[in-house]
Amino acid sequence: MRGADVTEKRPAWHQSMIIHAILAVGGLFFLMPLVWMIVTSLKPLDQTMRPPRSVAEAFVGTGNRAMLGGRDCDVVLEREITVGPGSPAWIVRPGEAFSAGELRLPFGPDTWQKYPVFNKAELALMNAPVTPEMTVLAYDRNRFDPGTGTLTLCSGRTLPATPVRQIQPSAEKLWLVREWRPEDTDQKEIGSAGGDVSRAWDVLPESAIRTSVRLIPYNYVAALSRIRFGRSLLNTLFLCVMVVTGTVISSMLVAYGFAFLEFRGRDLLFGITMATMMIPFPVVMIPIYLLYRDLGWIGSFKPLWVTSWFGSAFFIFLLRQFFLGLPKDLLDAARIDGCSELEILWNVVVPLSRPAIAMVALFTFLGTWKDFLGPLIYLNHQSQFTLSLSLQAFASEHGGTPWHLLMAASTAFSLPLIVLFFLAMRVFIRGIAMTGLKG
Amino acid sequence: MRRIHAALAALIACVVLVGYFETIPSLESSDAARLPEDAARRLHLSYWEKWGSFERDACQAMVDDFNQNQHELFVHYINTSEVNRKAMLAIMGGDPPDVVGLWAPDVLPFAEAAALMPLDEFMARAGLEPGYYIDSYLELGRYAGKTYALPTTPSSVALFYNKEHFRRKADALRAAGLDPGRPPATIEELDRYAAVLNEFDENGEPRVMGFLPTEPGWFNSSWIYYFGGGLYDPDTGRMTADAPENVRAYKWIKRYAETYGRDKLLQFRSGFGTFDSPLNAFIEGKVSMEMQGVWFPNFIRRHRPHMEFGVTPFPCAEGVPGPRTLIDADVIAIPRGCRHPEEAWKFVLHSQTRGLAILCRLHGKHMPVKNPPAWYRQGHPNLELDVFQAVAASPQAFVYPRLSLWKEYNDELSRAFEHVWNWLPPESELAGLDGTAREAKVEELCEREIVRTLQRVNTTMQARLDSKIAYDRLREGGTR
Amino acid sequence: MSRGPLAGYAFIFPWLIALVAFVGYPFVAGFYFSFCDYPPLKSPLFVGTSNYTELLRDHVFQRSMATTLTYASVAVPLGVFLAVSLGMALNTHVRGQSFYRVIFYLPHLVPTVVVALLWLWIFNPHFGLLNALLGAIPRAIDMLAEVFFALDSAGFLRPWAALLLAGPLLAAAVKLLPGPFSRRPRLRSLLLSAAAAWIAVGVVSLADALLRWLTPYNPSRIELPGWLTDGTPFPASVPFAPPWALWALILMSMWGVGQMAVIYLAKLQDVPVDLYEAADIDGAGWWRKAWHVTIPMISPVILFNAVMGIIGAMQVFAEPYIMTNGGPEDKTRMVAMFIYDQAFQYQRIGYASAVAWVLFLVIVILTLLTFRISRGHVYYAGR
Repeated sequence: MRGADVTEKRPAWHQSMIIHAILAVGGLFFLMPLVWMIVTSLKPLDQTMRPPRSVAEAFVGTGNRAMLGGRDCDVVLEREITVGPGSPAWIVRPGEAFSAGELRLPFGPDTWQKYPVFNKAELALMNAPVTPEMTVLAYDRNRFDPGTGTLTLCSGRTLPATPVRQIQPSAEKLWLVREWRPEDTDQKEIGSAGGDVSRAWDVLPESAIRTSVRLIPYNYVAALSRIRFGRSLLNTLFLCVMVVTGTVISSMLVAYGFAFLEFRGRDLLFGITMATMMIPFPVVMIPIYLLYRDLGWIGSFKPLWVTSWFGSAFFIFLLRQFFLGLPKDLLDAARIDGCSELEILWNVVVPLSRPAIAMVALFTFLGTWKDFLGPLIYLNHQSQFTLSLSLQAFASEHGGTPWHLLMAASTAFSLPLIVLFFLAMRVFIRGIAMTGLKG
Repeated sequence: MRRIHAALAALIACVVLVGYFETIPSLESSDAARLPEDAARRLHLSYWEKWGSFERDACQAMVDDFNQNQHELFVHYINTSEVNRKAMLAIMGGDPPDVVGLWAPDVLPFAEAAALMPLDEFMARAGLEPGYYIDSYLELGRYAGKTYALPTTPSSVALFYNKEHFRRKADALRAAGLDPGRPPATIEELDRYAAVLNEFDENGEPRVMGFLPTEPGWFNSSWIYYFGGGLYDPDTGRMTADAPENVRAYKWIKRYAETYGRDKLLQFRSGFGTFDSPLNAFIEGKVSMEMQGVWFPNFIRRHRPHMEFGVTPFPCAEGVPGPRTLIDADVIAIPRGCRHPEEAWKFVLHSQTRGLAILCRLHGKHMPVKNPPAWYRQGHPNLELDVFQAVAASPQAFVYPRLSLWKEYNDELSRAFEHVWNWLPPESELAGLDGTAREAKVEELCEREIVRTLQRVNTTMQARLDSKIAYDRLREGGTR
Repeated sequence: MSRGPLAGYAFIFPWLIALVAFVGYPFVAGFYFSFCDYPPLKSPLFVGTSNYTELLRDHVFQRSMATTLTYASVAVPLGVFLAVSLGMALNTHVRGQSFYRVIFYLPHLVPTVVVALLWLWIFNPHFGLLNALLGAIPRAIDMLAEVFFALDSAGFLRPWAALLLAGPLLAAAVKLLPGPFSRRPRLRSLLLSAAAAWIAVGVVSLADALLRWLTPYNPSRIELPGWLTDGTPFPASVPFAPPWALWALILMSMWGVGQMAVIYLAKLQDVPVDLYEAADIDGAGWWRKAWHVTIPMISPVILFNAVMGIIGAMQVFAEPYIMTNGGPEDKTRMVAMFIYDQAFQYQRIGYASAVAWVLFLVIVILTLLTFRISRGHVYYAGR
């Protein structure tokens, strides 16, 4: 019978309740990062790192909705329209087509086509045509003269236009709203559609706009494409497989040697093994790099997995302690039968040590999945980057971190681990139950 | 052999094969989507740079422009975090990239160790005159009379002030004898404007501060220059951290901590976000005036598009000639050990002419050259460009000391700044004093502490400099 | 019956290679570098012990060593205690055990970046979760006390205060009247628990009321710690006083107890059940069982985890780097960060190696100390 069975009889119910209460509070505390991560991954950017004004706002992002052209859709408040005697606002239909950029820039397409100072996305938006079927807001830098029926654009161009309606001053605030699409979540302009004229828009009073819940699963699509999820995942899996196999096999072999075989200097060597765990990484960091440089391994994956095939002090120690707890009679019986040491290891020791080996494999897998310092130092090519390195690069970008995308990427990063851990726990328990010889 | 032995041997053999065939991916194969048709015929170069996000897109645009306008070379932009550390390791290892982008403080340590190629010959042959640049920016990349790095995106700083706040407090400003229509012209005036612009709530907690020298926190070593101080005298080779002008600057800083209460300010400051956040002190309207850089208007427009703010050269103390700004830049260089220096130079040349305009424009900054092309201003999103361009070209613009110990020096100065800001005079010395006598005593104690701190910084750094020179001399002596 | 030494050496052969090539050589090289001046792009220059003499005088190094030792001396015992408790709690047969096991391990499954950012958020003095809770609890207690005691107006007690007496009365009744409860022990313990809870409520309310009445205590004006920004709970005259930021980092390291708890859990399953049965026969309650059976049986693992904890805590780098970067005013600069700065920011690999070596010696001393202290207390079964 094992120690687990002793608690087979459930503790008294009030004791159970206290333990439950403690575990629940603790569990809530520990569940926080995951919940926060998932919640933030679905929010729009401007609501991620703000102090929440209410409990609801902490969990769910909000956005605006309004009726545009008969359709109820998500909108973004682009700018406030204040109509006054000196600043009229008209909605007009242009008589001829022109490029959208002329609404925002003080020069025309002949200038911006010539000089390569706008990036591709900006150029696409600026070159989008505004046709006579569409309406244009004549306000601020674009003026409409109702007397002559001419629209003067920001770029200086004048063209005929027919008025659709004039915006009257009102007691409420007036907003220029534009349709919002999920792709906007990746925009660097918060709260704007970047001047995309192909979308529905209108000028509405504040009462016509309502706030509603806005969840953006598109964050995941944007984030995963930014960190090149597919390729990074493959690289990470390759590394994990090599490292886990190497660590498990080599640590098993060495631990077996330390536990069951007699040879001179065994205890001394084991003591040295323990001592190596105390060596802080900075002591050996630069010389190891120089060693790898001399071997020509910098830039490949080899520095990251080759050493794992030679054993790892921590796991050697762990496995050796575990092996020492196994019953010796089985091994002696096998030796009498004439098995070689390797066969004993494989056929007798390993089946008995499944929980410990599973633990070694699990911890190594987790460590390799999350490790970014190693890949940072040794890998140079983007196509080699592992998931954690891509995530780290994403997080430490200079021009401002897209928190919502970062959280989406982190969730994608952690989900396989959580699933793996869940499954591994079951193996643990089953493994322990099966080795019911102890005690 | 037993089966198990055979199995183990086979496994080891597999692993060795994997190790053998797992090679470093070639440069040519990276980023396949971007390659043109004749990629195979071109020579591929690698360019390590630090930028991600939209700055990266800007640099990629420059690289694409280069790749599209000629057919011999193809440059790969490789986003590298901690590019200076990786480049150092790579050069040490003998396998450097062809072109590398660094920060200006890295130039000296790299150049001293001969880790970068001198570019003067290349420049002369290409007709790239030193007079093309604003002198300070070119100086950043020079060492011992040679040019090792050229500037790409420049940085300069100025005073940002919130016009909405000025308008709101117009009457109070006029009552104090100040003009709400213009920003302060000297530091003394800045203090007076700040005193009027402060707002406190009923508990005496600050709600709006006119000015805080701790914001944004990156330029803390530069305040002394606005008082006419300096940190290093290249003629004598001595550190001058404890010069009287520096002490005066630190007293000015300390006065802000003392006047408004360090703890109150602590609570006030703790809610501030970074420069790219709607919680930034200036963007949120919590601080009326702040020293910030040429990139800042882009971020203001990103988070509060219709904020009314103004930019003016940061004022100097009375008697100090201005306008002044800190000059800093990102630089581009060719590492030693580069296998194709001539071809790498072609790309660097592009990055200094047409590429420079593209890069700076898309970064929203001004150009480090004296005469930017006329079309550069077309549609530039940064409407305050002229202020920065003018102040960067000013003869009083300063750079940090040109020392390879600069990073250490800077960290020591940051420590000194924080120490001075946080230091409280011991109660024992102030016992029994009140009112103006107490204030005078506090000021005297603070001044003593400031002098002591700066002297300690000076001694430490001077010792480091002396030992470094001694070691270098030993090294040279050994190799002769 | 042994096979001779050859088999042994063959099995540990890979490890021997690692010891020489990947551990031994870098170790010795690092030792050599520590006696050199070695800017990375030049060649190392032998300078004797000047690196070591310099670091003895370096006040930043002294401060970082003090900070790291403080951190380790608090975080490690606290972590061990929490991990053992968690392991034991998870070992009981409450419902949802497997679910809880995953939850407590979650912080290790989330990238470090996310954890650091989350904690930055939690520790924000203005709107962070921690200060919100710390501020809300006194206010909640105050509200509770308001029910029973009139805190602001004249007079002290309210009529409801009489209800508080029900607690002690109930407890006394249950203890003194064994009759009705002799056959219902569960009811007895239930009533006792309820009485204890009610007494606790009374005591807390009374304490709060007295505090409000006698002192200028005002729960809405409590100054909450600034956590990562600045300030220290100790008077300024204490040298190397750990700031709130360090306590914040220690609190954060409690996050990681899940890893150790899992190992304890595995080992706890191993404890032979006859010992528990014997303890039951002797009439031991759960506390005695825990103290005299469980803990001694898992003491080797506790020792191991304590040693690993010390080694890890002395080398902690990632969290302080991301969250405070050594601030405020260098008060959370750990030795590993100091080494990193020296090697990569200031280009002094020789000096960094010297510091790393000193760190190594400190770790060795601490580990040996731990082993020596544990000698009388750790019980090794079956070796």
